Amino acid sequence: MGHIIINYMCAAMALVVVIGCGEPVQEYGAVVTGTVTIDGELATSGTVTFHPVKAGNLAIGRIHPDGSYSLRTGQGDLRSVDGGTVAPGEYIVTVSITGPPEPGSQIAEGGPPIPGPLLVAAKYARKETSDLTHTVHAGNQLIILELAGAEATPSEEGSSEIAAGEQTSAPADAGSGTDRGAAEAGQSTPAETAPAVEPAAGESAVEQNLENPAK
Amino acid sequence: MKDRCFRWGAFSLLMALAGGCGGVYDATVSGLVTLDGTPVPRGTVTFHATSGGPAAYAPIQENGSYTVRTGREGGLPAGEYEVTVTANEVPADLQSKDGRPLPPGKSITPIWYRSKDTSGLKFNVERGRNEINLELTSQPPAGRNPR
Repeated sequence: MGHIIINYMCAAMALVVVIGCGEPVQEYGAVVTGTVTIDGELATSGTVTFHPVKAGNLAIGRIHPDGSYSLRTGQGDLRSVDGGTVAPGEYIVTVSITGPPEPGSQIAEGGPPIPGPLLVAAKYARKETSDLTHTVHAGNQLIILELAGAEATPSEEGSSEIAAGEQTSAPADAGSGTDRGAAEAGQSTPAETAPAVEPAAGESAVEQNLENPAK
Repeated sequence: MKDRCFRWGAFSLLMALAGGCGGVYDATVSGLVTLDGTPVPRGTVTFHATSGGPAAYAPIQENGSYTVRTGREGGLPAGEYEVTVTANEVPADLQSKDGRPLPPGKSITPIWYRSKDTSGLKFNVERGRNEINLELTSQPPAGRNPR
């Protein structure tokens, strides 16, 4: 009798190791990691925030210098950078990425410096204006956020041609209509314009379940 | 009995290592990005799987080297990839006057390398280690009109 129990225990332990990586408890049963790009370049700092459409906790992820992030809600393994867990469901995503603060720009002595200028389109800053929505499923998943950067102004020749090429496929964007008009005007010199950028380049995102990436 | 338990344990440990807690991708890619033979000092390399799925990215280091990652993990699934390179100079003026978003800096690499439809960079990534040097040219390759 005792042998059988031990035998079962061994098998159970083995299973735990094989299945491993702790299937998270139901309510916070998702692990979300991903990458953030701005006009095709990896972001190097900033924060992504997932706001639940229905009630629930915010999930927040710091953007690492390699452009990756992992979401945390205060649940899961808090000692591990990627150990945070998230409740599955629908989320509106906001992203805040700013440049380095101006040296000595703090309001009060010893206070935090004023953040530098935005490096992504302003619409991503607020959940009322952000057009990024994602459904988080149970289990591990990768959510890539391909963001549009700041629009070029007409006076800046060098960058307007690039911006025009990259943004032709982006849907109209409330709050920066004048800039877009300018960018599109700059695009009328065909020789300088990047041809047919794939539709996804603007601001879509790709999701995939990571359960079995190799197969 | 003890021996049996040990074998179970060893087997499962092997499975865990092979199946990977964390090491979920079966290929790695690294290499050097050059433009007309000179290393590109910054920017981003993107590997788009032709079969779909999430893209894998690599920041370009100051010496032009890159190593591909997928999300938080090193590596990527083996398969066929279209590769794009986007590299902008750091804008000279890092402060915008009015707090408006900053436009990107001037492009270092030719803009046709930004789109997978025009980059002409297509590679088969095999299981295990892959070294792929991206040798970009400021002139479009002969017979290919970037427009």
